[in-house]
Amino acid sequence: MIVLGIESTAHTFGVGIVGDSENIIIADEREQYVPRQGGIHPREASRFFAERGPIIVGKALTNAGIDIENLDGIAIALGPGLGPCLRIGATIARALSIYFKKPLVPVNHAIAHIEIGLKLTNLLDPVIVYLSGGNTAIVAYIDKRYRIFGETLDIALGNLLDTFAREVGLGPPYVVNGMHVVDRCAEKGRKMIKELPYVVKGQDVAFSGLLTSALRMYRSGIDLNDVCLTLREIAYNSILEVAARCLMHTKKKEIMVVGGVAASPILREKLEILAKIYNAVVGIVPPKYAVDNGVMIAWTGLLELKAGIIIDPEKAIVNQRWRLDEVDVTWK
Amino acid sequence: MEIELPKGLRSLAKEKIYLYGIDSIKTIDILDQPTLLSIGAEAYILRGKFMGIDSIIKWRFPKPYIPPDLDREFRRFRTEIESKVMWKALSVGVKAPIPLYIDVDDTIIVMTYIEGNTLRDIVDVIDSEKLCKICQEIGIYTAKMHSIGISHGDLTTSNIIVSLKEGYAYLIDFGLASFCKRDEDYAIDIHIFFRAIESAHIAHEKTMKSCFINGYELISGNSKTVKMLKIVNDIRKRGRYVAERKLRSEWRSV
Repeated sequence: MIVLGIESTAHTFGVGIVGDSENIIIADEREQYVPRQGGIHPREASRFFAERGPIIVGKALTNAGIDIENLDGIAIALGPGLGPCLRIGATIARALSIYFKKPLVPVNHAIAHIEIGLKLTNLLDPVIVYLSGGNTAIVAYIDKRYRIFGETLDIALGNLLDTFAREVGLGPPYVVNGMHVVDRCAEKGRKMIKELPYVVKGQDVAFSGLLTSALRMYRSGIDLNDVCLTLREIAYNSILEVAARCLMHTKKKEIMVVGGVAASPILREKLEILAKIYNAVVGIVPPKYAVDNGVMIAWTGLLELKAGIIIDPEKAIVNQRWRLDEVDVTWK
Repeated sequence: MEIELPKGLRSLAKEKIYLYGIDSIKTIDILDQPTLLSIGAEAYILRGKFMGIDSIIKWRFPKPYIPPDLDREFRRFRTEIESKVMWKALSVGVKAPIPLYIDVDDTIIVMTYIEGNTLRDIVDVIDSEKLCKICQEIGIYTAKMHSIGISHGDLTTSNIIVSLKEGYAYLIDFGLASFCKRDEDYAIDIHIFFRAIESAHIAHEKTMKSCFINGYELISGNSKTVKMLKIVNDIRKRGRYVAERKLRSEWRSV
């Protein structure tokens, strides 16, 4: 079975082709929209996708040496994400599905992150720490659904780090040589600032107060390296605390980190120490597949297609707010 | 698993109490045979006899992944708050462990042991009438704590113990509890309890929630309860991608 998947939820337009043989990845093409300044403007990103999308799809098919007629299905990330961006991908997927008469498979972007992670880390039933620019959630698979154990009540971890970096002039680009600029800036930090808020409410975290206070500290003249260090430690440790709590609550013995922030070597190191305390195993998704990509959509699409989950192209409408705990996981 | 106990506990284990009777001297160890019960998210939980009383020893262990000064400050602060909150909660009739010994420097709290099972483990075993009674009790305790300005902070089914003997529910683990004034902070308790139900005991959702609300109402009254539930709903909408929060122009279910 061969499935083509399209990812276009935020700033990456990715096309992946996967099969169910040993080495699943047949093609992996992606291009990222990089704003000239500031954050991602959905309209500008979607314009970029509209221009580049069809070319990337063509490239994936050519590089894989696969005729589109030989595909068994088209998978599309219908959400969650930025509306204008989602619509470009969805339009392309619907068109391909209708024109070539291929079944269309609706994929939840967040679940795709998890599924490709499970495939690549070979973990069976981990506590999932999903950290990206738009998401911060601790997830566990219970009773046919991925359930959200804890999440951020305001901004996401990636959002916190990127916004802070931008406001103090460290970025963009936010990630240099596989390391976030805030992590790098924190290396030279020496002491902890006392007044920054650490917010863990049960299983949930909140970062907006931390961002505001950190910026205020920086502007009041406190050493930037110290602010970076404190910000990072507080942010990471609040997530680790929730992850530890989830491990205890669900009694699972594995931890998996997915999403764009999973690449952070600092976080990885901390998690490994944490896992040792609880006798758990850590699985980190390779950075290339931890960030947004088409392969994860194609792979999840393949799993779903095997379980018979398809959608009528007329009904394949994007859903900007499609929570991962709304999806019935019938393929497991 | 071998753990290195903090100095405070080790020295405590060496001390003895001598009870002088008319013609006998009785000795009691202050701390007898602490054994590791479990490892929590932030503390080791040990069980032992403290001055002859069956006790739990909660030691917030140093976290090797947090910078030491930040770590020490967190642990000290939480130990302090936790012990204060437990006393206050007990004073208004919330069933909870009684703190017997507090050492904020070594971040240790010794408290009475409660014989029983966590609600999480017995939800599927007990009948729904009993389950309802327990959840109602939890609702009552929660409202009582809120009435004196305490939020439990981690009200999950793992933190509720149903005692074997009397069948009462006990609240444990006040590690994330805090003194607060805003309704929002109280509503978080209800939110966390509801989410724990949804994530682990979905089959009993209706019974557990309605009985909890019922108990809460008994103490706080109807209007306060309605107000709280509205805030809970608002908090819920702050999560990622909640469809209820959607704008008019956005997706609707087809």
